[in-house]
Amino acid sequence: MNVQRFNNGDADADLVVVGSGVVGALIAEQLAGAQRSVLILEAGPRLDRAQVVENWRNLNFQQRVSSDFQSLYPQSPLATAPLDFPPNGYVLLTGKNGTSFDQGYIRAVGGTTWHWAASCWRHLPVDFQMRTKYGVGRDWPISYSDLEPYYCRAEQAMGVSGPNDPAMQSPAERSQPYPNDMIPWAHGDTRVAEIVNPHGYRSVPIPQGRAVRPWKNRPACCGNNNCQPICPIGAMYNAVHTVQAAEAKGVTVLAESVVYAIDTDMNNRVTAVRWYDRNRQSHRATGRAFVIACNALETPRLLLMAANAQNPNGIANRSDQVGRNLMDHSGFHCTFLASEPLWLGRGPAQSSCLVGARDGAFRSEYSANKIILNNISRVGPATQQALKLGLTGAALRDEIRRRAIHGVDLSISLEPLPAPQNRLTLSRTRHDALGLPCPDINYELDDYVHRGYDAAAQQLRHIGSLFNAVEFEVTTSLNANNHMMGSTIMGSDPKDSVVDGDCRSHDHPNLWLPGGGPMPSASVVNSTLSMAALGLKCADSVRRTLEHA
Amino acid sequence: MAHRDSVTLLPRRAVLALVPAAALCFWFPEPALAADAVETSTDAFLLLSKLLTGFPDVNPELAIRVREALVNLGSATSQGIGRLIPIGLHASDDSTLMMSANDAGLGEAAHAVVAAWYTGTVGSGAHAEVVAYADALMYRTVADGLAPPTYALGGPAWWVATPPPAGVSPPKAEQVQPGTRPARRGKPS
Repeated sequence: MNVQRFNNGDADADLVVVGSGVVGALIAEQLAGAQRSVLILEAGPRLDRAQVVENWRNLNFQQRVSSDFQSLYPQSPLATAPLDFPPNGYVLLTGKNGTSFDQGYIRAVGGTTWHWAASCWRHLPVDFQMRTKYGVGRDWPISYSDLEPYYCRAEQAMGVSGPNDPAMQSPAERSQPYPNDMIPWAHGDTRVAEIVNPHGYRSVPIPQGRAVRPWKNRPACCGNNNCQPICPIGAMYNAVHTVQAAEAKGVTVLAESVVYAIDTDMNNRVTAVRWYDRNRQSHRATGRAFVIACNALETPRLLLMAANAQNPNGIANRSDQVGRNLMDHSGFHCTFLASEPLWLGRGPAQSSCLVGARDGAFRSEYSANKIILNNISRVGPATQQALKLGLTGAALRDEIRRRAIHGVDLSISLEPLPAPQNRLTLSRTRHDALGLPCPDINYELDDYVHRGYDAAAQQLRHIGSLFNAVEFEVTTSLNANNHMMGSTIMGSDPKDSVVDGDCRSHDHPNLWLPGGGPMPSASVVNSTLSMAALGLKCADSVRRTLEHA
Repeated sequence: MAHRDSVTLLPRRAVLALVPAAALCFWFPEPALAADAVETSTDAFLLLSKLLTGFPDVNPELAIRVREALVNLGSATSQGIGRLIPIGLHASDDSTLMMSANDAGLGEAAHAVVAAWYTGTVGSGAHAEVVAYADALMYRTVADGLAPPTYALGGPAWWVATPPPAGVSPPKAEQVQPGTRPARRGKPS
């Protein structure tokens, strides 16, 4: 196996990967398996799971009940990530729907899979052809069948449990079964499906990166109901598992190493990246191939700040599309008390989802939706509500129990379309501790999403009636879902896209920008499995390129 | 379910025997309390807590942390708690206690005690102090069917078992309290 070389703090490797989240880690592991020397540069620190669990238990009640999934994660002082309790102002949000793009992501070894819910959805075949089929958005330059083998590999890599009954699959077009059959449902999932399915809402099992039996080095899921913000036992897939596998194959991971510059030669090949270590000393990593996989905000931020004489608008940005077409599943919530006890909160955080409105001819007019039955314990919100009623003693005790066992929280996702004006730029006034520009984001949703909201709200009112809902509420403001996409958009035309179907930059033959950034359509499902599949497709492209070099 | 039993009070005579006459008649500012009086007021705070929370077996060690954290919130809360304690000694249940507390302008202080026990957090924002996680009483209301998040009620797939009986009446439409829903930030899925 080739090994990385170090000289006076500088480094050289066949492949330099920036970012150690799920995408960067999978690619590093693949190339190490192909006997390539691989260096990962990660801006954030290494984390200790037990400490993070302890930090979560010690967050105050208000933070926990408000889903503060950021404060428990230690940050490097030189690699800021967003915080909301209180806001740290790292990302400036502007535009009509700026507040709906308040993303929570982690900069640490393993990335944001530390606090994801491990939902592992595939896009539908039609999601790759939004322009052709529905006349909106963009087509991908690759098809579902091109990505399907990589979806299978990603499911294997992440140890996904999903329904092997085709009637419960979304989509059912699969060449291989799931590595593990579906996570068995709790009473709440079963009852909700029984009640809504006769009406076409199609509750199906969520494919998820955990199993009820040990999987590779992970223990079986014990339903600790804390997938977000931290699985206490490591049963949920976390890119740290892949980082560890990659390290076992010889990959070197340098944490607290903030890449800030990208060097190019006369042919616009990338020759090196430069990074600051924790003592603010600058170093250089040379290589033959470079992968930047820092998520769909940090990757364009780096590409823009790394502008050089040859690439004055930023690396990989001749199209002027770097940072544009930002998307996230616009979210909102529906809460109510059902007339029968559903006991949500038993088992993992999300196990069933209503996908009846995931696709249809209506998508030419308005957004599809998916409706997740949130299975996070309702005890916190129930307590908050019961205390506001001013109760004490046995009455309070019973009211919390009533609200906790009858309480329902549905999390709805809508699909935005890529729009160039939804954009990340570099702040001219705000800088991080290294003096690097902070991100500014302008975000505005069009009527496609708003009409989709109206349609979903109508469906929710009907669903509420099926449960004789009390205190039925639908939030009116949209929230972020941390599924950032679009900002290094994929396409066949270098004039209006940043990367090709392998996530390779149109401008630089040895630079790949995989992850959510390349995704030209959002669908309504969590983006991670598609990101991982694109990462594995990218890894094959990197491997072939190095073989032919 | 043991936790659903009503609060069993000590016979009033036994309570009185525990408490020096002075404590029944006067409120002592905290710094002025003598050592034995502190101990006594700790016992009295425990009694107050049992009445207000509906749990007859609240943890005495946790009671010390709850009380200290409440006192640390500032003199107004500290004085309120000090005045509540003797009221608790005269009350037979949480209803009569709350009536007396409200009459004395101490309703807010009483609710602060309740919130501290149930949420495990005292105060809010930058001044919030976490005194309990898994021991917060909110989790005990459903302990037969749900563990505090991060804990589990069994091994793999324990959750497929039938949940326990509700033990409470279903929600009623007239419980609607418009505007009680808290604003929420993005809850990622």
